[in-house]
Amino acid sequence: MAKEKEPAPRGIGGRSASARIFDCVNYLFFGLFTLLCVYPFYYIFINTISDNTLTARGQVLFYPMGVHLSNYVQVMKIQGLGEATLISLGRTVIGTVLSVFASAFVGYLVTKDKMWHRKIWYRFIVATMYFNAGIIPWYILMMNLHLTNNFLGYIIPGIMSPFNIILVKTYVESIPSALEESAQIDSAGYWVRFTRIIFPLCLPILATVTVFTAVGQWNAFQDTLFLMTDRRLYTLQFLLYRYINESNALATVLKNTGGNVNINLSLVQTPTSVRMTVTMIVVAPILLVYPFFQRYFVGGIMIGAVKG
Amino acid sequence: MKSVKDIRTSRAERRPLLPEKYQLFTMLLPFLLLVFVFSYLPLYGWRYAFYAYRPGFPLEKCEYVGWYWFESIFSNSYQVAEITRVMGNTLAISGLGLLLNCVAPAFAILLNEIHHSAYRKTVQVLTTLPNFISWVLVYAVAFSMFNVNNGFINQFMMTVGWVTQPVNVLASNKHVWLTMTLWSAWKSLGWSAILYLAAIAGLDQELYEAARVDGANRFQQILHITIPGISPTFLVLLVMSIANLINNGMDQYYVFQNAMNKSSIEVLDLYVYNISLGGGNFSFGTAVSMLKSVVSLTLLLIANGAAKMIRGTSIF
Amino acid sequence: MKTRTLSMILALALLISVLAPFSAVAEEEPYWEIQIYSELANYSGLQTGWFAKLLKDKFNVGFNIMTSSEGGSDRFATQLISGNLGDLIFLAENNGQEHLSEAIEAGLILDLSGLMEEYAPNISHNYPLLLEKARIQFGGGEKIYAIGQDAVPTTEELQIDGGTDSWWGPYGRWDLYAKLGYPEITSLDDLIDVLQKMHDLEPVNADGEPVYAMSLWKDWDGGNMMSGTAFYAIFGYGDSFNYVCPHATEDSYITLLDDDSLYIDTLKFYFKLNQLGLLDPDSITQTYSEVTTKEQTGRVLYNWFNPIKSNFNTADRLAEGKAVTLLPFTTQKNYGYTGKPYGYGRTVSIGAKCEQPERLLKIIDWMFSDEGLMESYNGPKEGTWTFDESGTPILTDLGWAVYNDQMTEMPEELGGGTFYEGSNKGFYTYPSINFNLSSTGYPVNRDLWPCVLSKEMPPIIKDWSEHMDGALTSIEAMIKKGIIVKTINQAVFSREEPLQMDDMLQQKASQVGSVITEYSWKMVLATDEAEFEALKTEMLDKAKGLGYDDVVAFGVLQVEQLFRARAIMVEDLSK
Repeated sequence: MAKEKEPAPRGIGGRSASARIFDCVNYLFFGLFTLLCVYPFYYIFINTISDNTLTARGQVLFYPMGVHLSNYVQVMKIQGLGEATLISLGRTVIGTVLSVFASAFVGYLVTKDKMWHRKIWYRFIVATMYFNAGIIPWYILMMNLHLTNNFLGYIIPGIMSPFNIILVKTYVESIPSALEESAQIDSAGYWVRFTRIIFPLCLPILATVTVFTAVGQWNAFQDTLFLMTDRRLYTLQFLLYRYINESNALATVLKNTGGNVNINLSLVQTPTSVRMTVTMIVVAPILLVYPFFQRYFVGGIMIGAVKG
Repeated sequence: MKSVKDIRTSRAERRPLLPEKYQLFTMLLPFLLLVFVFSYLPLYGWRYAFYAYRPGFPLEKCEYVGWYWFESIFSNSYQVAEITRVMGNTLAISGLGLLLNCVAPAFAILLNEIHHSAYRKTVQVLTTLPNFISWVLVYAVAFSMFNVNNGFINQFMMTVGWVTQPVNVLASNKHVWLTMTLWSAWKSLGWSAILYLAAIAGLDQELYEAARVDGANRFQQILHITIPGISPTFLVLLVMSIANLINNGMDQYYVFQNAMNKSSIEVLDLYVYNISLGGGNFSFGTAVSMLKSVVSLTLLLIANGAAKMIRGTSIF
Repeated sequence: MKTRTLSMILALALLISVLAPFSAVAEEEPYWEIQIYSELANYSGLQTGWFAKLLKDKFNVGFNIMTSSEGGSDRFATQLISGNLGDLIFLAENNGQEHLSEAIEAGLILDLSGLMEEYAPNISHNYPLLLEKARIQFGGGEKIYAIGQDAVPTTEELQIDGGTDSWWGPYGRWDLYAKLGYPEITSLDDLIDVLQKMHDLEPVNADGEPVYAMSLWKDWDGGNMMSGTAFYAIFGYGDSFNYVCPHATEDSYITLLDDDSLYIDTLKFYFKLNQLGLLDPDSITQTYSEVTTKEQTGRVLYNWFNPIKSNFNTADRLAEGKAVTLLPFTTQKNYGYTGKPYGYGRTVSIGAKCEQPERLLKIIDWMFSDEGLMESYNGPKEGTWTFDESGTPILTDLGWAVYNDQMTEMPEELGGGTFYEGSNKGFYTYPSINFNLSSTGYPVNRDLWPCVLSKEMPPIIKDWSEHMDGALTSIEAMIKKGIIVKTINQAVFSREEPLQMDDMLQQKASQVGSVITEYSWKMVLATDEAEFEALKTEMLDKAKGLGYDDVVAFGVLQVEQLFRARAIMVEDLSK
């Protein structure tokens, strides 16, 4: 259904000089912008594998120096990393599947003018983007629902995402309604129409929503921080957050004690290189999975293919 | 246990009983419940705004302060001066941020014009990279590049002769609004363009083919097919960000703030954080977030109304 | 379809791992993972290494540490609401007093008064004043909710309790100072002159990078520019109470923005340094970790607190004749804390929901015993240290290796990992480590053991020692030079309810603090005197407009309470 966009046959304008200049400028622009985006990342990477003292002095700029992997080895030593990775994967996969399904289905339903007070319900959902009761009422609610120290605490609150619903709804509205109605002839229910027609047509936007949700789930650590005290439910991001939080924590301790503690400050600093290592470890899996979804939104779909 | 046949008959019977409009509503109902529970129920916590709330204590044991927290933002001329400055920063940075809303679709359209598939995909993946770097780390990298002592940007500018004295760019109070916008553009552009790429990918390819047959060139195709095709997405996102004018978040500004640039960088969210003991004053925090909700929803209504006037149909 | 199967398997695996019950080992005292909430820790997670091994062997317990800095005040609030802070709770003094009374009031802290005699004989018998304070200050005269830390068991003549180096120094490059012929430094203006000359001697470090007299940082500022109050302790004032700072010994105080303010003078000092190019231009944008690197690479000559010493003084540099040491003013009157029979403001408590409070109290009591102190601070006996024939504590070879580098690997049988990784991560010691233990006659702090103090000094340190009347440590030097004043600690107790700021005043205070911090930095970086003065006027106007005077008025109440408490303490001790 969603297939690679063929290199479009160049029309009359395609071969003209102005078009060629446009292409050159365009390729160049994206090349430069990409460089701008990649360089800091590359900089972070080479600093994670370079001699930490050189890194701290800001001397590693273009290529790694004094290559070593001890930063990564150090991070790998964090206790419970394996279990935490499983939990992170679990919440990402389950949370994303449920949330994407809900966004797709709700996004489809709220396009239906026939629904009883459709506008009210849609606004009921949309409005929630703009208010926030704060952490304490949220925590009390989660506690009363027994979602603290419970894996479901990662999943259920995130199922409904107004932003994603709006995206899907906007997208569904752009699909010619004739397509959906063609299926009404055999008096198929909304569920069937949703699964057979709308869902496949929505793949580009659903791929987008999937990527957004999955990255959000994968990167989340705040909910672990507040909701989970059971070590078996810690996520990878939470462990890494704790790991790089040590130097911030140190400043807090010093403030709390007025410095009257027996600690060797130079030993407890988290070097920036460690922070950087953690970033690499978190981003790597995203980069591995991402291209898989990418084909859905850098292609083009042929609506005719769905019709047939 | 009902047999298959029973279900079939019951469905057939229900149809006339439950008109289509309710049938659609029942399908939505479970999701509405989720929204109600997780987004509306916690709003009972807005009561805290009228107390000097202490976590862990029942509200009856906390002092009732009425509208104190709301008034405390404006209670004397000094505070009015502060909040005016802060709102100025907030609106200026958000205003510039609205411009970014137009850059992202342009980015997507231009990227889509790159026909070398591998190049396009690579660019697309790599430009999302900055999105994954936390602001704390962005600052660390920025510091190592821009610092006065061995930041290589200063060294480069000195070598080339653009400057004679190293400049502490990060401590400058000039163009703070612009530089902050550029930082967030760098960080978010590639990522937010995904939305528009998806919108473009959803456009019917047959339209393009038809246009080509009619002799439309690339520019005309963009103008007449792509842009109208993605404009609903654009409008929706625009209306949403207008409603978000006063919510800039604080991470970015928190890491970049210092005494020199503070007067221009302190946006509302950061200001509230700075003056409420790092968010430790829950009542005040709640009061501010109530005010923000009211403002946001009002803005949403206005923007939605404007969209309705322009397009004929409202967005929300 | 593959992904679906995969996710199903994953979900199943998760379900199993989440639901699988712990397989409990049946023993007399089964393994217990103690949940710790600590405002004194910067490490979260399970205790590892040698200390974990010690706990496991002695008590069959483990420590799972949670620090307060994760999630900050939000986290503390949600924990309060959940009704469970953990089994073992460490609260710190600044917020601690308030957090502690909140936690007690909310019913999260266990009353230990009925258990002390039986399960904590060490504390009950050796630290009676500590318990008296606990009863009066928080327990309504009877109950014991919290035991103060960092206490000394004796009320006999109080000694200055600072270990080897006082936190507030100042510390600077002795080798350069020596080359200048040891000029007298009596004031901040003298100091500028000396720093200028020292800088002329060493404008760049060994790698050719520029050197600065001082390098400041932005990330520790609170209610004012942190560096601005740094000289308080050096000139005889203690920690501030909301901009009001009590004198070390007299019942008088200074306030932050007085006409004749030490704070403004200090800003002026940094301003002058900056004018002369002696202040690191990155000061305003960098964080403390960058400063640490600069100190390690020898790019900073002087700082007012002691980390610069360990950052700079590597074995190589000492051998080259370069060293950072105490570099005092002749007019200095360092605020010298004495031992604290009533303990410090930071406290240890047991959570109300703790299932085995007796067992936990025994462990706490062990930490108050001589053996517990020695082992939890210095490492396992016979591992890193032992007693010689005469009963003097000495370092073993491993102990010396650790003394030189805390990153030394510990052998597997002692728990593995580096010494640093294995050190007690939940908190720091219970009682003070600097007083002489009754059983050994020597302090717990290994830096003060004879074997360490009698170690041969590198020539540059010897030179310093000779100029300090033969002192071996910075504290000793200050005492010999008479530039430290014995001060009754601020954490005395007044037998009154602690004063608490209400939320409204707190908000004013943070608004004021935000303005003062901003303008202080701007003053330091001002281009000329006129701008400095103009900014100062503007700061005073804004700060006062936002409620500076109300905050100070509260600080004055706190300081007056302190004065009353000191008087009571003097009376108590003279009994």
